Amino acid sequence: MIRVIPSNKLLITYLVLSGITYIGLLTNNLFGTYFGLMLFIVFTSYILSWYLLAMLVALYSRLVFSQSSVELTVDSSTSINAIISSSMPMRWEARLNLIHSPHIQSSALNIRVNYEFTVKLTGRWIGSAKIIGGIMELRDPLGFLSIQRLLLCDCVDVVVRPRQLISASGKIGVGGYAEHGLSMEGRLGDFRSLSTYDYEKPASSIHWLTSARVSELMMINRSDYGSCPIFVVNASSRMLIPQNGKRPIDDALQVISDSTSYCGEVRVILMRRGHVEERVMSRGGIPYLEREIRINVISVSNEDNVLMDLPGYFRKYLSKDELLGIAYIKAPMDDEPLIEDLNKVINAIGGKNRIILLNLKAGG
Amino acid sequence: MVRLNYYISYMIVSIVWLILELVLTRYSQCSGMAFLGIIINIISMVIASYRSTYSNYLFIINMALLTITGFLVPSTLIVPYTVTLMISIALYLLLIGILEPYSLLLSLLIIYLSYIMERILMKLSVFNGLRSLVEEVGISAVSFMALLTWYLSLFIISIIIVLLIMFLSKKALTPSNTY
Repeated sequence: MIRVIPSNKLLITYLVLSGITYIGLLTNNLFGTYFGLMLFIVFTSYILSWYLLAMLVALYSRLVFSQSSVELTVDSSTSINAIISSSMPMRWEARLNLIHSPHIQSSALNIRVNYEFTVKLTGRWIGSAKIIGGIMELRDPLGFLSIQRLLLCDCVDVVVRPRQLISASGKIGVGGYAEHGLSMEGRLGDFRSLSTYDYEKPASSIHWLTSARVSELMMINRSDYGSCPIFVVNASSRMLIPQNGKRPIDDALQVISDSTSYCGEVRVILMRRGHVEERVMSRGGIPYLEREIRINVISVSNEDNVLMDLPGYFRKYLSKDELLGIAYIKAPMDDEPLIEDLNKVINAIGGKNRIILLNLKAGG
Repeated sequence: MVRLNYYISYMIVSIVWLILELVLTRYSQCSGMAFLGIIINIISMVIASYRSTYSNYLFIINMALLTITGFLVPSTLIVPYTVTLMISIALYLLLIGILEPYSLLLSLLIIYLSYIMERILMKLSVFNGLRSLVEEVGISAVSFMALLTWYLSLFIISIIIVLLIMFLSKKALTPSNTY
């Protein structure tokens, strides 16, 4: 879990020092020999001391976050506090790279050991990610050596949620009444006709405006099904590949999220070649749906097609489950759903429902 | 440790060099180089006053010149001259914050330990045999033995430090202690 990286500068410096010493020795010049030797002694002992202290600081350090979970929406940022506490009472400067999946963005931090610092996290893609640790790098001020230490922790669960609709956040949007009406339609079924009130029907079906106008209790007849559609989502690897920083799955999840704001729960059918799965999703579950799709794709993909924001040297120290949390797919695989499968799914759902196909190609 | 800016650090060190060069002007064998050193030192001080960002380059130029001058220094002055140069290098690097003070303190302890080890090695009969061999070749036996014993003592200490780190790493990174 510790890696020592010597720089070429170290070799060059030793060559210069040895050069001075050997010139002195060969020309029988005492100054050259003593000066070279003295530089060698001071320089070597200093490098050894720094190496010893840095290793002690790195060995007895741990990464601690002030909170164990964070929620944010796409393109928004949040800050959390953290500290690298070491048993050695040093306050050395270090560089910290957090290890997480690409759903969130965090820049490399210049921190001080045993000092609290703030980490800024920006939500990039919808999903559930986790910060599993960080790589602390201690660099010798002369630039001769650097020591990297993998700090693992049961750190922070980060949930990146889709953007909220304006109405869902409590503000009155441009739609106003229309949005309210849509939400009623969604929950109660589509409007069909007006008729005289049947006293056996619930009073909530009375349409008071019409009743007042005709001086008789009138009620709304609604269809059995609401406007809440059934989503058929392409859950193949192509959906996870970003194009200009945006993934197709994020758009699909945003559409589902928008409809959950007036439907409450929606039916989602996930399709991959040879795999069909139905889910009932509420708004809160959308990031976990992404995680499930991603992990399903990664677990069937080739090892060479998996990307990780972690140097290969440290990978052997992490379990497969931990790696799966930060892994990401590199290139699309041949798992696009077939048109025959799609037809079967549509037939199985039935014609009465409104179906929305998300990211399914006609010829795919 | 207070970190001074490049300009002040450079000026402190260049004043030390100036005194050193003025002392050297008294000796005929190196007076020419000493005068050249003084001129370059003063020019460097002027340049550093205007552009303190160049002070690191000026430091390297002056240091190279002083090293060349050192080869001409009379034998009576060699030890104080070498020590002054060493101190000026360490002081400059420490003042501009490139040397880490804790490590520097620990390195003094390591130098002391390697000095003890060097004294022990010098007394070994194997090295006495080697001394007579070197004398036959024609290289200065005193310098060669000093080099060899210091290299060896530092090598032994570095091996001990590496073993200590390996032992601590194993102890600290066992699964029960990993975080």
